Amino acid sequence: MSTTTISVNKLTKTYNGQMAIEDISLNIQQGEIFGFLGHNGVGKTTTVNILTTLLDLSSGSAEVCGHDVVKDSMSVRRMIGYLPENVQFYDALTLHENLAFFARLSGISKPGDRIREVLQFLEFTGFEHQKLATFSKGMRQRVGIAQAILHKPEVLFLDEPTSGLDPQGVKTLRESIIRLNKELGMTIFMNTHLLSEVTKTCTSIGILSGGRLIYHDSLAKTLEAFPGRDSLEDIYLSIGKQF
Amino acid sequence: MRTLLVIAKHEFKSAGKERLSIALLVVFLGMVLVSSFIGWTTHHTVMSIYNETLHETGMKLLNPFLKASPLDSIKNTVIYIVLIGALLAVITGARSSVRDRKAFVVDLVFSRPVSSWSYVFGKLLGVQAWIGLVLLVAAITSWVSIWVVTAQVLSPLNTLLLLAFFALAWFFLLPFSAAGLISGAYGRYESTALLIPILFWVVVTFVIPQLGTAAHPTALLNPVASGNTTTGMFFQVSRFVLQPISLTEHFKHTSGILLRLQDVEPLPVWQDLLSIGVISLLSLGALARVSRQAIRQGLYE
Repeated sequence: MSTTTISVNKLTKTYNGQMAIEDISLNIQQGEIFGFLGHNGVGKTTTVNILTTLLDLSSGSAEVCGHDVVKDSMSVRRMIGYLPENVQFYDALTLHENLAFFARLSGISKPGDRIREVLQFLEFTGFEHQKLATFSKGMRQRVGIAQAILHKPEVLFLDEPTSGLDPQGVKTLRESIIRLNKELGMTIFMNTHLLSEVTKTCTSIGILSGGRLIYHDSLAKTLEAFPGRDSLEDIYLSIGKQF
Repeated sequence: MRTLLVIAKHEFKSAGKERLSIALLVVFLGMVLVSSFIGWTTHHTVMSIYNETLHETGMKLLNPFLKASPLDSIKNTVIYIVLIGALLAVITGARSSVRDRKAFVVDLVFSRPVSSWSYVFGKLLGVQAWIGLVLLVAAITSWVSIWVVTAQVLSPLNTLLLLAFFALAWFFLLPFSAAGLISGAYGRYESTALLIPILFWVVVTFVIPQLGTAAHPTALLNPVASGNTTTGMFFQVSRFVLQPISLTEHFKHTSGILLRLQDVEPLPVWQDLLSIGVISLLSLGALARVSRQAIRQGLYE
């Protein structure tokens, strides 16, 4: 029996009176890869920022792994890993130094073994002593995944993880995400506007439009519910037209 | 507490890699050496005049250097701490906040179980630890140079006084580091984040002492505190108002006592220490109010 890992109830966020997201409610079960779809600027990052406790909510409530994101934010942070869009690091430090810093912040006092383990899992060895300044965008995204899973989180939040990557980079990252879900059982919440990626990676989707959640279901049911539509892109556009 | 120490250690390491901080460190340590050289030339000049006078007049005059403490030869270090040390502290503090905002790593840090309190105080501890290391190197440099200049090893008491002077300098620099960190957290541009604490340094170092003492601007570069130089009503009032917050004058006065400098007003040091302590506490209070949202703001350049 699956358990709810992320629970969002009537979540609303306003910035200086402007509504960013409105009345969002959704439940994400343990082990899902949830694709959060929507155009740029519809509130996907705002939602992730609230769920990762980086941003205060205006009204409603949200829980991650049973912990309230407002009242018990420190417990939420212990359970999650986060990869922001355009992730950056300390360029003057080496890969190992960067990862060691974030590992220690997560309570791993001697992170050497864990760093090696994570880099091996991601098939990203041989760069430990290189400065991040020399890394490509694709390499940085993999470092971003590495820092996010160092402390073995239960939930991984990824904000546009494939943004700006070349096709090989996209493929490598997609494979890593699927392995994290299948082999380590992580629940993954992924913001994206690339529908092809959702089809290849996600088990369920939610569509955000104008700050409101207009659709939420499993990917399989979504594809069944729209017969005659060739692709998720068609379905997405069809749902979008209804709202 | 654990995350605070992790951030402090990281900050200490990062501060040591900052080009601007390293440049100021080199200037500061260079000036400490210059201070000893100035002490040596002063010593040499006075001794020459003394010997010449003795030779010409056949009189027996008291050698003024016999009255001076060996610590007197590094008295210019007091003003270098006020000028370069404080500038080093504000810039290192500001760069510390700006570095994370510029590298966009703040969100990664705050997605960990790290409170804003641990973050800012960890950074302050790291910056102050780095400044502590700089001051320790300066203390060793001073001790050795006094030995070379005066051709005698400092007594245990004088060594303790020297260490107490550098410990006082560490406390004196704390509000400057905090001001830099606060400005680095709130500044919308990197340039303003650096310029605002420099303005703070100018006001604390030059404007407040001048309004409080009516001393000439050049007198403020004297390592000995200026005291009150006028009986005019305006300066009497401004002295009454500004004297308690005249951080640099308090530092210079207590430093003068610790280094046993001549011409220091024989006033008790508790007022100085109270003033430095209260200002340090106020700066820590202001730092504690820095919010996570402020630190998360992007920089516009």
